[in-house]
Parts: sequence; structure tokens; C-alpha cells
Amino acid sequence: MIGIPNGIANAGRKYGMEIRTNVKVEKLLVENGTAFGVRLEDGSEITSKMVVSNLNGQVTYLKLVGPDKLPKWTVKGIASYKNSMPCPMIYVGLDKKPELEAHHTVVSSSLESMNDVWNNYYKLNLIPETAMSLVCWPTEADPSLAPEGKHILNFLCNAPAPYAPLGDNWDRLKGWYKEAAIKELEEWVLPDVRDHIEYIQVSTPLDFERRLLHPQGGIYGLFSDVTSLAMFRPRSRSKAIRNLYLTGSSTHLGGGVPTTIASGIVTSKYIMKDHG
Amino acid sequence: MLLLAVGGLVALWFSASESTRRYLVYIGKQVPALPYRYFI
Repeated sequence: MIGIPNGIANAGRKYGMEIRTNVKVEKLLVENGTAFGVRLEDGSEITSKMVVSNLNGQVTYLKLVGPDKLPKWTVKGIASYKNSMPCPMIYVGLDKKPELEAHHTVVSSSLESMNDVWNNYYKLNLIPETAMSLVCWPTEADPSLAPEGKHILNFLCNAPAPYAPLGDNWDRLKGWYKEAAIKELEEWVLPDVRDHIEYIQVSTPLDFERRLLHPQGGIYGLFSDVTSLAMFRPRSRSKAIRNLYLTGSSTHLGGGVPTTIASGIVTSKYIMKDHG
Repeated sequence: MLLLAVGGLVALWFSASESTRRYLVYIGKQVPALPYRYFI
């Protein structure tokens, strides 16, 4: 998936876009209900005609803008959302081509197993050792992502995992979860995978929260249900702050790669309409 | 007509499965927040 942001970056640079990475935005600059720039973590400020935020909607409004700059009803509304489910991810580097048939492999469970995971683990804030999962093989589509002859797998347990496991935390459980995930891969997809792992990394909900500012590690932004969609989802063009635009999983069209890409298209059309 | 509608909703509730009822309760709890979400 790194091809997508790289493509966007390359396209933007052709039009003079400057990209800075590893630079944290501390605050959005807002005066009289209008956004006019950002303040960085080092205290420096960048002023602009508009601000576009790809961050989680609650982080954008409540942390970067601040409740003191927002109408009370906006604060109440944005605080009322739940976040989407946290899903730990495992990244694996292999020394051989995996015996998979497609870019994505869905490992499904029986209904009894799904109900067991839901009722006896997730609802009790426990983490199951086995769960439904999605195995993604990026080097199937783009071999240049790994050295020649090597391959990458991303392994996502698409069943929800609790953000705060009962009596424990993800930093302590990381090693245990890595082992459980490898066992899952061995049992359902690649029986000899353990012998061919050259690199393995686990990103837990805490890692996503720290690195990507996804509250509680929610991978799809704000929760998506009928009360959080359409006119009840944070707008691409903010109703609360002028010249503030949102993109990404917390706004239309929702979470997931195709929809977040589409959200960028929607937001860019608003910007072109508003600013020419 | 109102009585018929209410009666129909009550009948639907009792005929719904437990998971459907749980979902409806969950959605119902979100309803008070809806007017505020419109202004974001």
C-alpha cells in the first residue's frame, strides 16, 4: 500500500507541494471560527489559506482545534462518537514465496467459533488466541517491496480486539500475541511459515494510537453505523470551522482504503469549489 | 392510526431476535446525539 501515498506525494510535488515527515502538529490555528494554519510541536507556525486534516475527527476537533474554539453543540457531537475496532497487525518478511493463491486470503471461522470469540473473549475484554483473519501478500502485486526472492505478508485479525485487555496491556502482551498469530498462520494458511520468517513486527492498538494518533487504535477511524454515516458523520468541509477540511476514515465515505482515497477526492472538490 | 403504528412497533419488537433487539437498543442510545452530529 505504500504505492498509494507515494503516488499522491509524487503527483503533489509536480505542483509544488512540500512534504515534511516526522513533524507533529500541536494545534490548528483558529481565530473567529476560521482556520488559518498550524502550530508544530517545536512551536513554529505555518499559516495558510486552509487546513486539511487526515487525522481522526475527534483528534482534529477536540485536540488540535480545542473545545474552546468550537461551538458547544459541535463539542457535544464530536465527543459522542465511538471509535472503530482496534485490530493488531503483524508484518512478516519471508525468505521464500508463500504458497498463496491471491493478494488477499480470508481465513474464516465457523459460526460457533465466531460466537465464542465475541461472547467469551471480546465482550469480556479478553484476547482470543485464534480469530478470523486476513492475510495480505503485498509482494504478489509489487515484488519491488522486498529484496529479490523475498516476500512480505501482512496479517490482520479482523475480529475486534479489546483496546484495554482485562488486567493487562498491549505492551506486555505483544510477544504472546506474535506467537499466537504465527500459530494461526501455521494452522490455517502456511504450515511451514515459521521456518521462513526473516523479520516479524507486531503493531498493537497502543502502537497505532501512539504512532498514527488513532484513538484506542481504531483502524477505521470513527465507528460506522447508521447513526455515524451520511449527514451524521463529520463533514468533509467542516460546518464548525471555516477553511477546515477533513479527509480520511473519520469523514465521508468512511474507513477502508478505497473509501479514504475517495474522501480525498470529495474533499479536493470542495476545496476547488471554495477556493478556485 | 397512531395506536396501530405503536401496536405494530411493539409486535415487531417482540418478534425480533435477541441480537436485533440489542442492535435497536444500541441505535436508540445514539439518537440523542444525532442533532449535535449534524453540526460538525
